[in-house]
Amino acid sequence: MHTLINRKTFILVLIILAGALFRFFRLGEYPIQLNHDEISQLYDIRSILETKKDIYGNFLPLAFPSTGDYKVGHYIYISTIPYLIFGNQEATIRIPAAFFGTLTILAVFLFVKILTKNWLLAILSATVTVFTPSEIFYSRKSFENVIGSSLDLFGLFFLLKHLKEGAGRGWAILGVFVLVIAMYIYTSQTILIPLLMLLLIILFRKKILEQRKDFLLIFVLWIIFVIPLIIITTVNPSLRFRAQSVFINQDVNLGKVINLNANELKSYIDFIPAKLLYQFDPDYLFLDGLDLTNQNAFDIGPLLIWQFPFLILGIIFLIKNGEFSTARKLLFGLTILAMIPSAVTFEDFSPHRSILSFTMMSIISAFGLYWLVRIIFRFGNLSLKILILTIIFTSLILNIVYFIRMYIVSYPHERSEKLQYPFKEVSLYIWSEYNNFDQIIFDPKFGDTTPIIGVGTAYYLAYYGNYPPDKLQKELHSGNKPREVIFDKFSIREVFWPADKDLKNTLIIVSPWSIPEHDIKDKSRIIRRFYFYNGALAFYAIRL
Amino acid sequence: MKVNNWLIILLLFAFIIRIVPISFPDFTSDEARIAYRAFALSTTGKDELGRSFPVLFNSLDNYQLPVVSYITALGVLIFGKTDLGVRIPFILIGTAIVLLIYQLSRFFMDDIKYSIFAAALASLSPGLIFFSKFPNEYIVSIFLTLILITQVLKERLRLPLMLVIVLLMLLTSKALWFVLLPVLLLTLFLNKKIKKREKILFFAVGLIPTVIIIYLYLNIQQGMRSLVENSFPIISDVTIKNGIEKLRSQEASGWPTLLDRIIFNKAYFIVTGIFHWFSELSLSRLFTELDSTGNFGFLKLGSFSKLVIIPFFVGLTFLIKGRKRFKFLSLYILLVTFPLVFLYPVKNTGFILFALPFVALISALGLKIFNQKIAVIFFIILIAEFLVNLWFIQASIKNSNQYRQGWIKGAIQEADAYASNYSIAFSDNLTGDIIPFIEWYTHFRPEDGYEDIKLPYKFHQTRVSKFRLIVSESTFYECGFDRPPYIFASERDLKKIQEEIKVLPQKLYKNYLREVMVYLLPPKVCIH
Repeated sequence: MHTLINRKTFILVLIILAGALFRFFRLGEYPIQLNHDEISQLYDIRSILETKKDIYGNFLPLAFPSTGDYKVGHYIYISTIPYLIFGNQEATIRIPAAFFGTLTILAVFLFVKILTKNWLLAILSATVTVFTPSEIFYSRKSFENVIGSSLDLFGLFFLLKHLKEGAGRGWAILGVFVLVIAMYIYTSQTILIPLLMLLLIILFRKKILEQRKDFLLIFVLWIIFVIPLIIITTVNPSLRFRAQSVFINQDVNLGKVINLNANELKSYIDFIPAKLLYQFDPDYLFLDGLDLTNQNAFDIGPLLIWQFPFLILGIIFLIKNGEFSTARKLLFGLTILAMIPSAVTFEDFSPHRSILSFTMMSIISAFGLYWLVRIIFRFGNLSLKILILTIIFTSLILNIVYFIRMYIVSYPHERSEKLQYPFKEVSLYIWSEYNNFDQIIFDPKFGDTTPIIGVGTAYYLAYYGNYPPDKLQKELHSGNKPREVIFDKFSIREVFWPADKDLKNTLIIVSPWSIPEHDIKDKSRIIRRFYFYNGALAFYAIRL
Repeated sequence: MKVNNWLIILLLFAFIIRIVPISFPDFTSDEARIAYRAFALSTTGKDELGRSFPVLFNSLDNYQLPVVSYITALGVLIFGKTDLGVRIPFILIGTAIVLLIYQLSRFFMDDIKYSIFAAALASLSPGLIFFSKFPNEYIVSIFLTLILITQVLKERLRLPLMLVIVLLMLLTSKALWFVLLPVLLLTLFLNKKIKKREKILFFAVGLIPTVIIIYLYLNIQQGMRSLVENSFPIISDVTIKNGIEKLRSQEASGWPTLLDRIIFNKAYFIVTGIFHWFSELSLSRLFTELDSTGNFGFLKLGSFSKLVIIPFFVGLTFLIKGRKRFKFLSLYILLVTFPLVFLYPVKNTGFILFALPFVALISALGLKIFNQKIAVIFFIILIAEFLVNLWFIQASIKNSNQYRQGWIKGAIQEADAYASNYSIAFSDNLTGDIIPFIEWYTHFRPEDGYEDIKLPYKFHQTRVSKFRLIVSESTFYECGFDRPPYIFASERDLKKIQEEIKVLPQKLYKNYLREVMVYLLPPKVCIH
């Protein structure tokens, strides 16, 4: 018995280690460059640790203005821990997500185990989570909802420990506490958690009614934990702005429907369910939801194509099998509820807000796999068993290889612009030329196929120049020219070539979108070219 | 109340909500072509190109099979060149589908409540209602498929009747060339009362005409091309091929190219096709938005009301847990829609319709489990929702502005008034294909449009009688002694004209979104 437990633990540890490998391997290198969110978070950590203020001089803010979108600050505060342990490295900012992404595997195991009392189901669910694309993709970037989803699963485990196994109410309080932390971590969780609690109340209503005094206390505790969040969100204009700026009323398509209907209520009633169901389109879930390429069918969804048949089988198995009635209701319920944040926010699809739903679908697909394996092992024919298992395993390996190829090769080739590549290279170059010029102008308008305005340029410059945060706080200010931000000898702004071409001893970093190459008469002034990952020209450095 | 009375009320209700409002939706140019063709056939016995009772018609995109055109002609023959005349055959077919679903439900469960629920759901399906209101092959295809299934499920099969149904199916839609046999096979399998020999005989009745018709079609001019381009666009789709090449060209140090060849290859066509199939059948298309363009659906309404998703899932649960026979409902859905695999990347809303009778039958299973009062409340809400959407019908009309360009009618009818004394020119980019609109909305005589072409695949007319089209290459000059036409110009041509000649529009025509689309120019400008 003891050996068996040890063997089971060993397998679980192996699976978690495999998950860690997918999440931590060359974390600083893939994705190929820190995007504007990551660079701003990383520099803000340094700023907070050194000065207790962000770059705009706000003292320990709850929401960081960073690149104008007011990020909830908890990820930054959490990231101070790896920053203190591992130092100021690019990968540091990705470590909390990778860490919690790995912990999710354990959380999935515990959650399924307590839900089904079936070790094999739990281990298969954890295994499928190891290589689910959405889990890996979001664990390798500094993304708050990975922490949120992980905490959701742990919170559910603690609550189920009390609700299903009858463990002491301390477990329930712990569960509620963990779920409340998730609400503080990411805005979507503030929508999801109350719905999740409601679902649990409905599913365990008998038990809750029997022990109503206990649960009333837990509920009151939940309210107490949540009150500060409500106060902060309503009082803090930055957090309020953040919540409002992503809400569905900012959706342009909803605006069109309202215009057509000339009636808001009807438009909302029609629009939100439609948007919710779009989140379940197979194309989106299995083919292209993560949007890593421009190649239509060749892309990656939040789930592997391999999972599709198992997801269908899993649904059928859960419906057929009365043994897993609670599991069925909870898994199906969570799959739908965790999609709601994506349905009530402004983007057509926001997979980053639906991570828990994808996790639930992964678990359901593991149920499908479990069912199939069980059926196979009932066959007497050994060669048939081997054949089917070989097909399952080979197709899985091929699909994982496909995902890895897409992630490490195609994604940078096709989406390097999304990561603001090559802002790092440009920043390092600027610092290498720092002493040779009186003024350095950087126009962040760039693009592979269409022009966009790069954001967080000051962060890139400050981070890669190892610029002291206290100095940046003092110097950073807006200028008079279009989009101008100034610090030190840097001016980040729109370049107007007819006027700027006469500047002296100035380095200008600009893309062909702002100054087409034929406008630069003296080509020798172009002293360096910077390229996107796919080889297309992104910027050139012009010496004046 | 007796069952028959309930059924009659239901059918009447289905008919009324399909006929009101009669002029909705506006015709697309292709539907206008069928409408006009029907008028031509019913008055002269010739189609719009002057061919006597042809079995194959032409359009801008593809060859068209005959049944839809002749059914429409029947309506026009009775009710004249009117909206009612064109639409009534399809309204009646749409209503008859409700009855057929009622009959089919009796095979799956001998329970009147279940059958009434299934029929009621079908009668209130926005998808089935929408497609019952204009000439199209899909509603006829469903009708014929349901007749086939209900006939085959009867104890006594009649061979001649079967043959007629099969032939009608094969002459209605090319989609049915692929759907017919699997559906027939499954249905024969389901009917345990027919002997094996009879089953083989009836399958042969389906198989032989299918083979003959496909063979004949492939032997007409560009028949193969028509089939590949329109029924198997996945084969000629370049995005997958280009994707493979592009991805293979992305080099990464250390990544083995052999692996690229294994993971990026033409086998991916199958994966793409399968996901296209399931995405077309997605929950969103079924319950919340059949067609976001507005071309084939009400604004933000699915094939069924969004509320039906609840009994649908309950029904699915029942189907999975319940009797074996119910499971065939899901098999039918797969069999009638599988050609969607080959339609990638084309969005084919009409194909979803094939699944709807079976979705109604599954949802009715779910409804049957509900308490009767809840079921009644459910239907009251469905009716209320549909009425609300009828109240907001203008929103759907505006939403379809780009595809269902009924707003052009005003301009065309004004042109018709001038046509007795002047020639008329229309910019060719005002609508998709304006000639069918001109033919349908004016007093155009069929014989004025005849052309000496036998089987022109993808046929586009640029001049009919006094009406001609201005193409992007056209140039303009001030008419000296030449007789100038009235010009109904788009913005493109107005700009070109005003660069050459000083002329102001005498009237403007707007689309449903209140954007000016047509500029009527007085007869001053001549066209090269």
